[in-house]
Amino acid sequence: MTSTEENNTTSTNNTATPTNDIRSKLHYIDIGERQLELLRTLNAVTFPVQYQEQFYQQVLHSPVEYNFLVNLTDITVGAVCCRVEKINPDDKSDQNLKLYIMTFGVLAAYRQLKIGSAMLDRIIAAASKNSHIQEVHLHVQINNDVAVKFYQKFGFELKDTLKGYYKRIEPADAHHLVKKLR
Amino acid sequence: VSQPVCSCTMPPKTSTPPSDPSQTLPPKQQTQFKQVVKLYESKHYKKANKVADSILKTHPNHGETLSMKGLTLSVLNKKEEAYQLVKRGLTESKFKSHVCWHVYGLLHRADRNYKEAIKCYNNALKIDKNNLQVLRDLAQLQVQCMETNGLLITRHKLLELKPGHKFNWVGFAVAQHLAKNYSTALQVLHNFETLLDPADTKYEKSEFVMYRNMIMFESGDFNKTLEHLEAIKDVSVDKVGMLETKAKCYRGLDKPSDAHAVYFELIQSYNCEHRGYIMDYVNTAEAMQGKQPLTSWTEPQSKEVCEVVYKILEDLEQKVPASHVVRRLVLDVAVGDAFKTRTTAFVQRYLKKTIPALFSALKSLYNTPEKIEIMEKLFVSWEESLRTKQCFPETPDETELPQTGLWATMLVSAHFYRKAEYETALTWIEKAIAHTPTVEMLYILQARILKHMNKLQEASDAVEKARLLDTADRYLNTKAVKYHLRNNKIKEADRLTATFARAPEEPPLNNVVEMQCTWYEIEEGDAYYRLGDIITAMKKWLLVDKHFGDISEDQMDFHQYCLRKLTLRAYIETLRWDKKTHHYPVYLKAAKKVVQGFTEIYDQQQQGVDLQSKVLHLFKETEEEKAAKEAEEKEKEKAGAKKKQQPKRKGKPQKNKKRQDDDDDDDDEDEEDPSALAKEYDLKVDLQTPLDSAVRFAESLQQYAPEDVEAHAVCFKLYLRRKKPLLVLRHLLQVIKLNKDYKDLPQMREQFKAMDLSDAPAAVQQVIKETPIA
Repeated sequence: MTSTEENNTTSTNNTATPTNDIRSKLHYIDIGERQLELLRTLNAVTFPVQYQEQFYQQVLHSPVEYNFLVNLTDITVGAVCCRVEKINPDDKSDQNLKLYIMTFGVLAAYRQLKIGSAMLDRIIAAASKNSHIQEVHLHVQINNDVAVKFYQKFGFELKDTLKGYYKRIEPADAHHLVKKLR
Repeated sequence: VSQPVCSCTMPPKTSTPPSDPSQTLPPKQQTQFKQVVKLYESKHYKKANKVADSILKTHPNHGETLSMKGLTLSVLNKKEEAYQLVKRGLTESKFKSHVCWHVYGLLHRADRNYKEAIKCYNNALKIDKNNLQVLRDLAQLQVQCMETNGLLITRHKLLELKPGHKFNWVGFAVAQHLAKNYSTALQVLHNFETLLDPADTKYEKSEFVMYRNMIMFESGDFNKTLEHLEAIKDVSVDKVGMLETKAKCYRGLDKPSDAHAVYFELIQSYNCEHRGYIMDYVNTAEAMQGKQPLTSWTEPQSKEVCEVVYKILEDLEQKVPASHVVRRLVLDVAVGDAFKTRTTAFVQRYLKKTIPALFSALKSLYNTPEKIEIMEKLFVSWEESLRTKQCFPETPDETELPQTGLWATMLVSAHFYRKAEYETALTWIEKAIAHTPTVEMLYILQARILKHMNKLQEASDAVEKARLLDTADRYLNTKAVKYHLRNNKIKEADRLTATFARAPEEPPLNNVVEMQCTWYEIEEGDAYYRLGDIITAMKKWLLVDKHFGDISEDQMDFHQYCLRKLTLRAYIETLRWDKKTHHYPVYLKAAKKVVQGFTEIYDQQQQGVDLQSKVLHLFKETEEEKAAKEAEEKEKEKAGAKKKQQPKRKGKPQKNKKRQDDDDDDDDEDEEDPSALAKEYDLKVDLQTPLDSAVRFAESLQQYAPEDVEAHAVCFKLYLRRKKPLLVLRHLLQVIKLNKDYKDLPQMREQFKAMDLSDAPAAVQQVIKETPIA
């Protein structure tokens, strides 16, 4: 589930919008025990879903190239958590894998600055380096047009739509987006 | 107590009158006695004790052996027995043994009864006037107590006996200096230089000449000092020190313009952020001559002075553009539009750089209502502009990152907090938190606001949230601890201190006390007090007093050291500083609480309240906890795991030496174990004579906190109960003088009038009747 809703402010000042040099101001932080509270805080304000403690414990044991916090000059503004799965669960080997993006979000006040783009680029680059990972995929709530457009810009395609995917929020349906890496 | 008792070359029997056979030892026992002394010197106290015992078997009344035994026992913490033995030793030797007197002196010194120790040493010297060891010990104590007259005599003696030792010369010069005999001191140093080579290294040589310069300066002969500075400029490596002295001399000679130039050099070439230099620079400027000199930057000044100082600082700013401090100080004296422009430039610069300490830097500006208004308008307008247009109103073409708006919001909140408009401040900080909930500093400010609104649990929760956002941050941990204590959650606070403890397996309390963490002790005491347990509260507050005693005592090590190392300027300043330690606000804070506490203990005892029953044993193990611990230990042993060795505490090397360097052969109780230290920190509160114990604290308050109304009120209460009408009157008059509207004043007047003066002498009654207290 992701959320990249449009920022409400209309910006008439276009000169020198610091988006190109935003990447020079970003730092990526591995998620360890010390960072869990930050992650919980971020998730609480960016997603309508409450994640269980089990989720956070799992993140601690997940690979760091796909699970990190994003700092904009000392302030933590975003985070992404993914897990690596087998395409076919019965497959005994580890040659056919896919990357599943579990949470991906930026604080509302810091959107429209290309921070999300930097984060997604990083994930995709890391996944591409791993020859076993065939694709990247995620779910988006069907009313989140902004998110769908965002992922489509990066080459994600709408594979199918799952009814009743979310148990406790409305609308309960979700789009399933996939990007093939090879 | 790590010094030898007596020079081993002196056979004991010459110290006692030959006519007394019980005080003379046959050769075998004499050798044993020498052995006792040697063992004591090499810190094998238990062995020394055993040998002493074997002498006493055959010569039970040998005074000197009894004293030595007492000495070893005192080191082994058997104080009462030690004193008894030593006193017995003195009587047995008919007070004619210098060894016994010396030992008695050592005992007193270890217990910090310096005056008594000095008396003992003097007695020892009457019997053996050239005893070097006694003389050295005596000199050390005299300088510790600043008994300059005695020190002169002792140091002179030492110099006579050993003129080949450099530090005897230096010691004598220092003694003269402390006694304010400046010319003599200089003469001594001169003679020293001609006879011996005072210093070896470049640094020592430099310090030596700077010390002489210091004496000259203090003697008031500024011209001579200036000439001397010229003469030594190639030898002295302390360039800054020389310039500072030079400036002071010019001021002493009433040549402010010369001083002004020197201060400018200091600011420009050495330290452009030094507030002291900048203030001196201002006060020596031509425009300030004839006016009242500036003493504080934060107190509001008259319009005239502000204008003058503003011009001076503005000029300085242009000459030394690198100085942050000057730029900030200008704000204190700027007015009107100049203030507005400068504040904008100053604050916006730091908002863009996201510096959380910004707000405390602006504190002093809140003394002037006009400035508060200007700042409010500015800050609120910036916040709005950043929120809606991502830019400052003055620079619409520069787009700011979202966090600049965040800090602006925090600034607005902090502004209202400073104005004590807490509800407004709270609303603003909540906006900031909604904007960026991942920033710890926001929660800290929120907690502060809540604390002032007396919502202590919520405040504590906010700090805890901040702490969890970065558990490795010690500042956040400390804040969380403090807020727990304010909320009376003593156990939680204690648990949190363990996070950063040096040795986690030891009780955190030891860590706090070893680190002399006075703020914790005072807060913890306050918490116990609020929970109704005054005895434990007193124990905590008294720890502050103990620390100051320790600090004073620690000086003892430096008397020998500094004379050898020739770091004399710093040494003299330290000696003088020690007399002022009771000036420190934290000491006075604790002293007030202690006096208040003792008074309350007395009152409650009079009412028959059982104070011991109110003691909260928060850290005592319950029966279940004990059983659980034992089960855990058994399991560990079963598994064959080696029991973890308790780490030996290093502690302060000199102090703990007597315990740590104990006998290798002895396998008695580990005297370094942490529970022993915990016992040492568990101070005794005087419940028998609380009012007597309170007196020395009250005297400190009277001497060092004369402007503090609360201090006087607290002393008033104490002396009322001690039935000292004149002292009561003194404090009452001080309260009236300092604050006519003090809340308790009417009640105090009633209590004063109701005093029972029937036992007082007539003169006192007269004074009481005639002094007006309206």
